[in-house]
Amino acid sequence: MGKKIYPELPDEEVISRILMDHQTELFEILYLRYHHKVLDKCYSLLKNRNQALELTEDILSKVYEKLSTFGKRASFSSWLYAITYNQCIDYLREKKSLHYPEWNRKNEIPEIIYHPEEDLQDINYENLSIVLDMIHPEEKAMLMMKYHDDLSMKEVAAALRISPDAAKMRLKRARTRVFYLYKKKFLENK
Amino acid sequence: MKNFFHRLLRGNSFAPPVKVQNALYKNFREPLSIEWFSRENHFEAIFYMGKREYLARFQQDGSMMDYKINLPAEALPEKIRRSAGSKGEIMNAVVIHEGEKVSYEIIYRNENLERFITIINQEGIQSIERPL
Repeated sequence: MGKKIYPELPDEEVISRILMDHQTELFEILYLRYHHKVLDKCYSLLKNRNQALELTEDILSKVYEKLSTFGKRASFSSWLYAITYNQCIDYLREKKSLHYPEWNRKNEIPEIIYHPEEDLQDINYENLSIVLDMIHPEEKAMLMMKYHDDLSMKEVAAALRISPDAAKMRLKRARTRVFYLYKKKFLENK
Repeated sequence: MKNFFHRLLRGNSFAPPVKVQNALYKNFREPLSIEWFSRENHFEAIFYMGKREYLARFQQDGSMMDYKINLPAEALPEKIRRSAGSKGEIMNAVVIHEGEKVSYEIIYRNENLERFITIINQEGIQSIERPL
């Protein structure tokens, strides 16, 4: 007899069955559904496939352990991604000793781009990807959390362990830095 | 991915009532790269002045509630830097102006890399502290 598969079950229904009916084997659905997405995010920040794989397993284990704390305030994916970014940032801070304040001090933004949509016309997305890899991983993580995964500023702040208002101002800085670097690398002397 | 880049480039394109926008210019000389947000019962502007990030909050009638500035640790007054520095390494600092009252929101980490947030007044006295 084959294993029952529930491909169409929404995330919240899967979680409900795991927690209420103790159908713990259903966590495999979430695992298979999100493993590659979590891995992609880890790899984009860690830049090392083995470390990203290891961290992905740690994250999904942690999510399984904390499943009863998923409050349904946000979607499961938002909750999962918030944990993912938090773990990546903690990993980078601890294992790679990444020190954002020091890096920020050494990388002041000489020019504030006021109107990026005007100043950076015909922006090339491939080049923008290159610029994203030039900034600090914490800044990159913030931009991804906000503009790719649509996490709230409260979730962004919690992932970075700063206050929401500090997160809003730091996000501003991250965007400004991206625009400056793009202009400097790809538009000046064109 | 294209949608991510588009949203990153566009930022937030909300515009509050004109009297609120005017209030920003009345209170701050040459704010740049302004982004407006509508919150529960007020408006928020995040912008640059000089090289510093600012966050200012306004009521619906245009009166300013408070404003905050992101500061590097070395820009903190000596008293504040000493008070916060005695607890651990300063990782983020924000000065808060609310009317005549000035306070500082400091995030520091201890030797175990545990982070805490604390509010310190102008005299260097801590009022609130909690782990992050």
